[in-house]
Amino acid sequence: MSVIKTDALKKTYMLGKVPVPALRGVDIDVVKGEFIALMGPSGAGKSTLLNMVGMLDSPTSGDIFIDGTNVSTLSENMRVDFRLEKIGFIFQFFNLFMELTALENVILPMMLLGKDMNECRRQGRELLHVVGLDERENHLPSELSGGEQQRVTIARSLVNNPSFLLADEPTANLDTENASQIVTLFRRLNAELGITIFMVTHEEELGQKADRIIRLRDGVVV
Amino acid sequence: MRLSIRVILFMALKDIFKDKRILALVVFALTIGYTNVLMSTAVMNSFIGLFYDQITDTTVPHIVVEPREEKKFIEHTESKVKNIEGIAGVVGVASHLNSSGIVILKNKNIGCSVVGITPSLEKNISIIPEKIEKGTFLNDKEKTSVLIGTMLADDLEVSVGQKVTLVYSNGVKREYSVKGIVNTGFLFVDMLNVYVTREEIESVFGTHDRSTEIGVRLADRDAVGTYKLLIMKQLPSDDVKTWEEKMGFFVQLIGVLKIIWNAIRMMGLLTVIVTIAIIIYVNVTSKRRQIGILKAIGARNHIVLGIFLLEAVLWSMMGTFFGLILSHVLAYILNSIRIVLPIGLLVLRISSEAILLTVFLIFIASLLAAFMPARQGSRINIIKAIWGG
Repeated sequence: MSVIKTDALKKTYMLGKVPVPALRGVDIDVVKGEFIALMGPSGAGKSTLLNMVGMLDSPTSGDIFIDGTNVSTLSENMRVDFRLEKIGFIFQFFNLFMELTALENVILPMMLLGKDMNECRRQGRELLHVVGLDERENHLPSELSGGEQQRVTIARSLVNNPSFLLADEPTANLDTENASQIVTLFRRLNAELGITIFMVTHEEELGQKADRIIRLRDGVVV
Repeated sequence: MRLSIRVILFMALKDIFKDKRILALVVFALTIGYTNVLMSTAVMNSFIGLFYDQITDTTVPHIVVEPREEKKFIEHTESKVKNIEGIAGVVGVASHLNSSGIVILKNKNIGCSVVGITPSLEKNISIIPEKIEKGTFLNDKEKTSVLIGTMLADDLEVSVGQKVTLVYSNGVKREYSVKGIVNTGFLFVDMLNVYVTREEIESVFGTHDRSTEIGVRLADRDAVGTYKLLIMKQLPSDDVKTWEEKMGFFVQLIGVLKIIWNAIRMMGLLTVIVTIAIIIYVNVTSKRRQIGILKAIGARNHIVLGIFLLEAVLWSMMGTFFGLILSHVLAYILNSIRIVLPIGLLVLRISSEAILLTVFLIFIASLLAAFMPARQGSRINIIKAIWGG
């Protein structure tokens, strides 16, 4: 079953009055349980495709289907709700809320869904355990290492049981050891929990750990 | 709608309390702003209240009946006084027979207002009988004594028991013993007035049952307009004025002062608005990426807007709370050191109306100030916010 599917996806930005095509008709199909690496040189359209799949931006033409729903036609608020329930985001700059503890960061998406606080905490602790941060739930991000912060982000991305994780260069700001731990964690989540992962990376070694690599060049899949 | 309020409250509280020093600075700034607004209101209301009270208690009763321009006196005063006394809501009526004059002691001659009063009735329309600083008040039949304003007495260097000479506007010159010194704290009374009995001044002017003014005191000062009309019906041949009309110049002056004070108050309010707007704007600007993340993971625009608006409200509530305390402390200190103005002792009172009005104004101002930057934050483009575009 397709979790992510794009159909003739195009995106053209305007640089002043000059149209700059970023995606020139991309067709991808990611099925449930796959670990996909999206790779390509700088300017290939990786981030643009990630933004489209993450519903952070709208295509110029073409369709995006998530769990079978054509999200290109959804209203802004429906897109927000769809992101909250279906997609787990992991960004390269960790992007935690600095005033919240690790646990509070993890449960924030659950709170946005209006879930019971006790249930939020229970689920949050469970996920911190999954990413190996049981003892750090009350620590602020400033008290965590880069690798630990990224693991908190991963726990947060999982908290609403999304259809897939969308990871944008998740190891770009980590040292080799922490990067390796994160990749291992991704593999474990994918293998043990069957979580679909759609990861943008420029690191060939990291890409090789995925089930499949989708390569983009000049806005098309090659 | 999902339980957005919980997330808004959670995030706003976390953000506010994350840096205690910044919180303290923000609250301090808002406290000063709130105190400024509340204290300027208190000073204005207390000053105007004191001024109006002093005028109506010592100089011009709530309603004044005067002879028409072409006449010198109100005729048949006694019957007119009785008529007015019969009106429900009138708590006191007394007539005055006034003159200008010169009071003389040794080689000092000072111009004054001679007020001819019926001592037993004066308490019905003014507080002069209660304001005898030295000596005693007059009796109705007293013909050889006067009361003299305290500043005038100081200028003359006269004390109780000494003799002064009074020259009336008709040229009659008589000698009186100073029976009491009047100290109302109101410049215009204490500096100008000499009080004699009605009986005495009637003998000076060779007149009876005439007066230059009839003063009327009401149970409700604010109802002067209604009572003026009632009295005008009773006394069609005389000129009836409210105290505000009689003191037109001073009331206008107070009107100008009110404008100035309100401008100062608005500046205080503006300070609060600008402070909050800057804080929220800086907050939004410095949190672009976090706002982007919050929106990316599924927060609708209204949640982001709500967080910043609630922060503004919480800040203003804290500023209001501490401002209220500071204002009361300041008022207590200023009242303790006794601020004596030419119109009397200024007692600062922070009324509950002023507090409610200021709280309301600050609350609305906070929301208005925060709205634009908060809305700007809520509409941040996620991609630009996260990737710094």
